[in-house]
Amino acid sequence: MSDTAAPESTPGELFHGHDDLSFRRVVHIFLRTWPFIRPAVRHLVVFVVVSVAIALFIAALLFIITGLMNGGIVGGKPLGALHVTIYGLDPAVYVDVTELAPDARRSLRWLVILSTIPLVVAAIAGGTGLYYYSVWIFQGINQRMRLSLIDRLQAQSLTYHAHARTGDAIYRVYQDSAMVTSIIRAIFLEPMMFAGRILFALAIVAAFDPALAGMLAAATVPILVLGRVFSSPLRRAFRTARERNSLLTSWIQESVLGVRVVKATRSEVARERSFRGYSLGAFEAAFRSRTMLTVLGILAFVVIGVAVLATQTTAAMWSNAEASTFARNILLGFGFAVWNLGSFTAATARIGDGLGSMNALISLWGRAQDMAVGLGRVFEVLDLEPDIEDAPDARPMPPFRDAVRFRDVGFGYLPGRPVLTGVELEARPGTVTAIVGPTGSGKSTMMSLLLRLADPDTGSIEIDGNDLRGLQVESLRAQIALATQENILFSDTVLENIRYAAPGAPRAAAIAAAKVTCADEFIEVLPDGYDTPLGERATKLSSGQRQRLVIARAVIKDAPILILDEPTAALDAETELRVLENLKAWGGERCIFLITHRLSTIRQADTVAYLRDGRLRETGTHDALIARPDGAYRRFVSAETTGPAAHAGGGA
Amino acid sequence: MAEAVLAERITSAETFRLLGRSLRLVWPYRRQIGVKIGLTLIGLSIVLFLPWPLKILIDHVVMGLPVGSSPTPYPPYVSWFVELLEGLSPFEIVWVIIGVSLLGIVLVGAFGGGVARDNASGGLSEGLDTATQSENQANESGSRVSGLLGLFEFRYQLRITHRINHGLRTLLFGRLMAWPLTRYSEASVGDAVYRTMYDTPAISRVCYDILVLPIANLFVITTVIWTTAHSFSAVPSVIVVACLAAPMVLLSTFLMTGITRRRSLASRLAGAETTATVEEGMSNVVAVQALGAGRRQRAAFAADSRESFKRFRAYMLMTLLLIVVQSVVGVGLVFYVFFDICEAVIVGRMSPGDFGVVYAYFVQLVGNLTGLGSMWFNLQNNVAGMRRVYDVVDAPVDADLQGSDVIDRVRQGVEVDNASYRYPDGTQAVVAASLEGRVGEVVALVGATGAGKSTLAYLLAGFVQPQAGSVRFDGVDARTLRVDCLRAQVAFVFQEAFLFDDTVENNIRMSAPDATRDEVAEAARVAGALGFIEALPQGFATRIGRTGGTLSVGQKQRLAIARGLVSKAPVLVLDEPTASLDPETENALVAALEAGRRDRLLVVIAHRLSTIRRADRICFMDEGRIVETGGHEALMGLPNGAYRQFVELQVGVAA
Repeated sequence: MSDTAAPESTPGELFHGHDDLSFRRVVHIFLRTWPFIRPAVRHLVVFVVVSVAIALFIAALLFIITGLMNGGIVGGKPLGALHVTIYGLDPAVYVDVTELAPDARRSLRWLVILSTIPLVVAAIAGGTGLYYYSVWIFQGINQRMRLSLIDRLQAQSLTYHAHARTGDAIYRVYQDSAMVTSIIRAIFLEPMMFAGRILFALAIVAAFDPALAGMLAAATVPILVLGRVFSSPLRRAFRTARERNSLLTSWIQESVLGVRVVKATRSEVARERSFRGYSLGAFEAAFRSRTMLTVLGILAFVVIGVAVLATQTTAAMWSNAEASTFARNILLGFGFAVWNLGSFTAATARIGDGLGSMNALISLWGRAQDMAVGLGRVFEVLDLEPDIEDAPDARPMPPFRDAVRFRDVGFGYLPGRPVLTGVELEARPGTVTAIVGPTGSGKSTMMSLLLRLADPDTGSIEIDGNDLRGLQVESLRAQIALATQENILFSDTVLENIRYAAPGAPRAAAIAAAKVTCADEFIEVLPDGYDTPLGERATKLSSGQRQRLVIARAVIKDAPILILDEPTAALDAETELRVLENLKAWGGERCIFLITHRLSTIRQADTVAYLRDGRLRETGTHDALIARPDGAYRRFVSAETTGPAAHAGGGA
Repeated sequence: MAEAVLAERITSAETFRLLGRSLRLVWPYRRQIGVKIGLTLIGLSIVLFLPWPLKILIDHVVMGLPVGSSPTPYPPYVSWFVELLEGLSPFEIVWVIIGVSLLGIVLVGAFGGGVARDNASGGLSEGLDTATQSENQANESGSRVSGLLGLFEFRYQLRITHRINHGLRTLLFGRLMAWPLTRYSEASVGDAVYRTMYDTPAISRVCYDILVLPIANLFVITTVIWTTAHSFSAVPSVIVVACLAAPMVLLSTFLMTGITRRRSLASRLAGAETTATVEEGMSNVVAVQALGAGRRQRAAFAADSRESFKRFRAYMLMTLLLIVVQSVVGVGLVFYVFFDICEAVIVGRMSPGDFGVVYAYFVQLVGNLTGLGSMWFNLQNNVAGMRRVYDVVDAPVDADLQGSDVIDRVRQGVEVDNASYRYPDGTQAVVAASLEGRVGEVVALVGATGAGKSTLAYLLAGFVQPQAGSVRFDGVDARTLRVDCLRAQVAFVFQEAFLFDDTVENNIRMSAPDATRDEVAEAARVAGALGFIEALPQGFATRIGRTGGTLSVGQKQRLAIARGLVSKAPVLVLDEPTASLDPETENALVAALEAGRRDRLLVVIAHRLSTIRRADRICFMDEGRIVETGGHEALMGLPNGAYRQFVELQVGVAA
């Protein structure tokens, strides 16, 4: 245990936070969010239009109020023609003077308050309303993405799930898909808004003086350089941070799932020690990435600060000299024909807004690197093509009537490690086929192939002469019912667990199925009978009880092909016998596959297929096989009846 | 469950209790937090100084007034700076201000009034639900300034936050691992992950809220009110409003708390449910696929996720309402002051530059008051998370149910004396069971499904404690033993094999970390696992995927058995681990176990006759009771014995 304490020593993981995201890839990833956004486009357009309208309204009002307040009331300078027109003032008192009279200045206060009220109402109502609206829109988008992730993960074949970690999946669905909402803000809305504000500022400032606008524009160059230099290291750091966090989540998850083993082996301390390693690793990565982001923000601010300072002092000097503004004919209307307190305030406010937007844009760029990493991880899942996919010309499977055939089937999970080799088998309706063999001989894998959880590497499986690969997966699985050896129940009531595979089934059908599998007897005595809720892992039931529920679940599906994968291992002999007898009676013309070790069970089968090391060694009835003097099956059976003495040291 | 928790409101008294506990938890970091407070105050002092150079720029450069002719007095912390400027031309003043400002940009990333100010923060974009937001909380750090000071403060605080959260997560994880097994039937895995990862940051956040925020806010509020009283006494309403703002803003914030805290709790619960749904779907992906239930699982997830979003929106709506109320109050005050200030400027009691200072100071005042008022609100927001953390911390752990005595390795054996056990949900699993096992013996527990065999085995290993009767190791009541001492006596192999995502070797070695490579290999050989392990690409060093990866159930089971075998514990319990073994493998295993049985008591739960009949003692269980005890031959000799019927059924007619 101890040598896995530090995450660095864990092989097979990408800890060195590689950066495989070029700028183009980032843009590409962003564009891929489009399908999730498209359904909300109408709302987004409404949102943008309303936002811009409110923003312009507020900006115009502010400009007018600045003239009134800073130029007129505070500075005592004459107003512009526009003010006179809007408010119906007397030009002789407010425009054609060098200095405003105190009473004139006093009377302007009411105008300011009057004009501020619509400003405040627009800002508060628009701001909060729009925010709520945007949250609603973005949650919808987020929801679509989460569901798409779930779909993909569920469509992956077992080969993928054998290697992925559950915690990782959770983390992706949660943290990473939430990025989508941020992304839309980051790449569509906010840059648009900030760019708009920068351009607006440039235009206004250029009207006051083009040189000031030039300074403002010049500040963008170092900002762009900073953005470029930091992008790749930031992405690397963020990727590492996310991977470590995901690893930590998986670790907690696994520890909780396997807590019984942890306790039984007294490895709580070892687990906790490793936990510390993972936790520290995650925090260290977070520290690095966030500090880097902060440094970018600080450097960008230095550039912007210098630009603000330069423009502000220049404007102050001009105001001191009462120099005339550049586009004085246009600005005249607002009372900004010469540099004074009003024009100084109006101009520096615009400059500040423009540079502030630039600052926001660069910090957005920094955070966007994290989003890109998050999204990249989401798409890693979305990009996985399901291994098992319907062929383009796949047909629905016709109702089963004739035979299931394995033709020279070969398969392996990993290259070079075949699990099945040259398997030939035929099973007909109304028969029970027992698949028998030592542990790890490939029995369950055969059944997985029949369910098309994976495809054979060589040979083929045919049902009624149709290769499985030419059939639609959904229609195939609809005709096969499965009871697995791992008793998986869901945190729902007993009733819902039984009709899990057949959601619409009536209660009576569920009870009938429970009777077939002798589950009815113990369900009846549960506190709420069929409506008793089971915990997440159904720990209240014994293994044997769970197995009977799982078999009932397969029974209620009422499919023509039934696979029982060691479903009775945890049942005592008496219960097993009763369940099997019921199943045979219920079975009728169904084709039943039975994986088992138990002799009493095997005897019930019409055909016994003896599998060893992935090859079918013998096939026939129990009596025929047992009659072969030195048959492999016979030896296998004798181990069961005679006990260990004859085989001491036999091993695998 | 969700509704039950919701119905239970968090009282203010409990809030205070939770806060007190949180403070005790961060007490070890008091010095670091003290430094953080110091850094914050330095930053704030600079922020409060900044409006004054702007006033100088406006009055003495833009308006061209001579230095020293301001109608309002400068506060003492600025007047030294103004004295330096006396007698300088506007042009020279500009250069001084530029110099000071450049210094400010590099050191604290700020200068001028409100326009050009930056603050260091490493916050990342967050999703619109509580889980992703608490990720930012776990990395909470920030500064009111930027530049070198801001960077230093940011890094310093981030380190503290990380240390606190690391400590908390470790604490929680440790408690989760120490929970009694029965507790796990109620709690979901997703919930446990959520608590450890997303609920813990609430505590560090709350501590900053309690310790740093009020000091910083009060410092700003006091300075602003004092400065207004000192410099702007010419306009009394400014002072009045500055003082009035406090109660009004605080009151408006306060009213909302009751509703918001319930919304927050609801939002968090919904988040945990979504995690659980994903977790369940993923862990059981085989069943989901095989049963064609993908659509159903998806629908469940979609519903949970939608609910989680809905609750978050409800919670957010409250927050927005709060903002609206406060804005309206703020704007009203500003209008009132505006009127008076304009008058003062017109008659010359204040200078145009003062206008900017008052404006900047009022922004600071309202901002800090809101911060102070919403402090209570933010605390409420985090109380839910805190409580979920303390739920874990307070739940009794194994150690609470066990004593502290230590015994040596068991020499004689184990005795179960009249023990009964009932699960928390009322299921009576074991009734007055008595049984004795000596070291060197093989005891088989036999009986129908659900007869209580596993629970009896759990009693032996101390996974559950009998409500009546006792379990004794060498005559010592197991209850009095320390947990690790008790578990060291018993190695347990569970019915369902669970493997960790680690190498084969480490999985086997779990129960005996110091076992040699040879001992591991020997255990694997006895368990019949050596053959397939050696065929794996990297043998014992092969890493096993999530829950066993491509290994078959039988192979996983054999690894789990090897794990039990490698332990030197004097009692070995095999809880039906051989169900998915083929008879050959099982026979080999039993033979090997018999060969090495001298220093061990083997308790085996099995159905297979070939295994059962080799036991020295067979305990036949029915409905929680041990109905028959004895050797195979003896029990078969009972004419109408339950065991005999059981065996006959299994052997069947043909045997």
